[in-house]
Amino acid sequence: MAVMGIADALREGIREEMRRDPTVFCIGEDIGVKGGWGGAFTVTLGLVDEFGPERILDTPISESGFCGIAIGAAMTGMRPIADVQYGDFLFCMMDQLANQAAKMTYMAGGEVKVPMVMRAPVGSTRRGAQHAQTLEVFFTHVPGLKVVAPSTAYDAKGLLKAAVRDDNPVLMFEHKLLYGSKGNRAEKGAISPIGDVPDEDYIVPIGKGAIRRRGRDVTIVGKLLTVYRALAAADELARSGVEAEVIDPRTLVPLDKEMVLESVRKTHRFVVVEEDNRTHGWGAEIAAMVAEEAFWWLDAPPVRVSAPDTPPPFAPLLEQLYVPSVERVVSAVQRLM
Amino acid sequence: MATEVLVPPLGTNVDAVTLVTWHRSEGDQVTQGEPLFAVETDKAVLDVEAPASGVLRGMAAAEGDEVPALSRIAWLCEAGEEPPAAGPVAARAAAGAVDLACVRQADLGREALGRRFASPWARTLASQRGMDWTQLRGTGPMDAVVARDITDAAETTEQRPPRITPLAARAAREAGVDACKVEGTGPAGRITRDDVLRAAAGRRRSVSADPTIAETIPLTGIRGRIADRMFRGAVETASVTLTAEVDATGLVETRTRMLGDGLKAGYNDLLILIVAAALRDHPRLNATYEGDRVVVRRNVNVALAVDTDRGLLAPVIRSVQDMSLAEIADATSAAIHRARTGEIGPDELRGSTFTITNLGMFGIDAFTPILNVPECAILGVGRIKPTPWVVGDCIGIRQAMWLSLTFDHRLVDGGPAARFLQAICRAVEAGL
Repeated sequence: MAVMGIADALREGIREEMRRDPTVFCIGEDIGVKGGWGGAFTVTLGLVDEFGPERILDTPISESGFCGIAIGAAMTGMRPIADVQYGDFLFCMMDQLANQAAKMTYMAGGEVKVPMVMRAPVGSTRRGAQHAQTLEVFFTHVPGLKVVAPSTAYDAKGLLKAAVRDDNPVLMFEHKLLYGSKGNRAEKGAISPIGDVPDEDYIVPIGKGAIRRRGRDVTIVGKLLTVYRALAAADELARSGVEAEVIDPRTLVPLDKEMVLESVRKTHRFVVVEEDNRTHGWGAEIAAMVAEEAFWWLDAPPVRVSAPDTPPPFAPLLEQLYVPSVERVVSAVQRLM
Repeated sequence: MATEVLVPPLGTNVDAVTLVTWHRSEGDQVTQGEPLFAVETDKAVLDVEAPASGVLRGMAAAEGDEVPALSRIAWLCEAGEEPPAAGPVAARAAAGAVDLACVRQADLGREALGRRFASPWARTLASQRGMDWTQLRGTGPMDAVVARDITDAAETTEQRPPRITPLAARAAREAGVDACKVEGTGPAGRITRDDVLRAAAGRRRSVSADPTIAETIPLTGIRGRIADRMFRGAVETASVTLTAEVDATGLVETRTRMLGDGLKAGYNDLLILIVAAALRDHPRLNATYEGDRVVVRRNVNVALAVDTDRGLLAPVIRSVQDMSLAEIADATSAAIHRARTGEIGPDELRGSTFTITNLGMFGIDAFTPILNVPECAILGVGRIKPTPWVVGDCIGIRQAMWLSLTFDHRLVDGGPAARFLQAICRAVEAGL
């Protein structure tokens, strides 16, 4: 058992999977280059020393290109872990992901598998409109992709290992404020979800959520950073006697619907907190599911706490308004009581 | 600590209201949220809830008093606590930041919507327990009945109706007295017919000691409001009345046909539809006077003058330009019913852009309506009666009707007003 942050936990997970299975390799931009950071946020730092440049594969700056290579490799028997520097660049490879990787198994009648992982840092971290978006919902909407979003070191390693072993394309979203990276790759305002990570082999099953806090009065669902906002809000609410249950789905596709519904049927109130833009967002989907499937258990309307429908602002002050704050979560809950 | 009982601010137009009833007496233990007193604004009678729990002390206003908005009329004290000495109303209240929890703002909205809300979970609990949630007071957002209201009610089981004799119950229904608010003096505290009649009499205005005076009616509340508005309509406007006698045979036939088709539309509904269409072509008549400008309104919100026991009320049917005849008929019959039963809320009585007043049912042929300020125009409708009429080269019997259009000449000239009335007449002749 070791205590580590998400970036270290991911690195350990990658290392273990590469040792276990020779078909596993990493591909991305600046992930193994000498004197580099090990990807944009240190996840692959040092892996090239153990596995060499053949398995820690640096590519030119061409997201569409290395994504295509990864998909092709996956289709022909390899298990690539691709790494995009900023999730925002996923848009460059949208055809590769949404048209090719996601649909290949379906169109081939199950004859072809695409067991690849695409890791992508997301979240508003003073990097403005093109390097700080929250992108999960673009991919949760594409049938054929699995989407995971770990918010703790334990889950990061366990979900990464599960993703590598899954026969479907898996997108793994990592929040830049949660990496726990050290030195000059640590983002300003980062919180460190450091936790115990077992040394022995384990996975976190894809599709299982986690209850981060038990409560009886309201169910708050968050993902990535907003899990922590929800937890802080729950502490604040507890002072006035409101006990919030906080759920971290961990996997966005497939979603652990029963965990959310069961909680709502107990608490009768529901708030979803997301860093996504509000309209047609992830929170909208979860709220709609709750309204459809737990309607008669609701004692108040389902509520979303979201980012506004604007790009992530560059100005730090505006960014504070953009990302849902603890105060906004608290006040959303209070309005339901 | 004692909590102030304040008169809520009930709208921009209301400086003072009449205290109609105290539901509780000096020294009574009061629970937060229960109706504490009722006020009559110019538009409706509203209950105001207790802002806190406590003992009612230091009552400073009597039933019938005019009380200014945000004035303090009592205290809610803790047991044994004396009400604080007279002092200014707490600063936050004076600043208008009165704790609006005690003002049933949501109620106003709810009344306007004409329905009450219960959360899905509250409905589920109520149906499991076989309870009627519509009788409960809601404590959730929008004053909705939420789960705790159901469970609280199930615990107290104080859902029993008041003990009342059948005769008294009928008397209460006829007199429009809420039996829950009548104190019973009969056997085992039963409410008797006499109790109801006493309560009903108590609501009437006081009778003067001067034998030559039959009754004195203070110009407050609705009567005062009517007096004020009629005076302003008569004195502060440049009103002109145009009259036209019109052959309404087509309109009568249209209505007969619609009744045959099962559409229960009255002449007022047909006229609202006609007026809405005519205002589309003559938008300057759908306007209000705002001191230094004329504001032409996009929506046609028709106020319909209704004669009620409490006086003249004009419930507003909104956005009639987008409504079908059936929708108009539904909306007017609901609004008239609510106006007559006193359920109507202040929101339903404001924001009109045009008024229709119909005295045809009283056998009136033509009259000069007074403008409903700040509107530009009002249409007076007379009775429809068979009249000798020149039809081609012959005299025939046609269903004739007088229409009187009073308009404010400051806002619009005689020509446009006449053309507007002409358009209405043509539509009436054509039967829509």
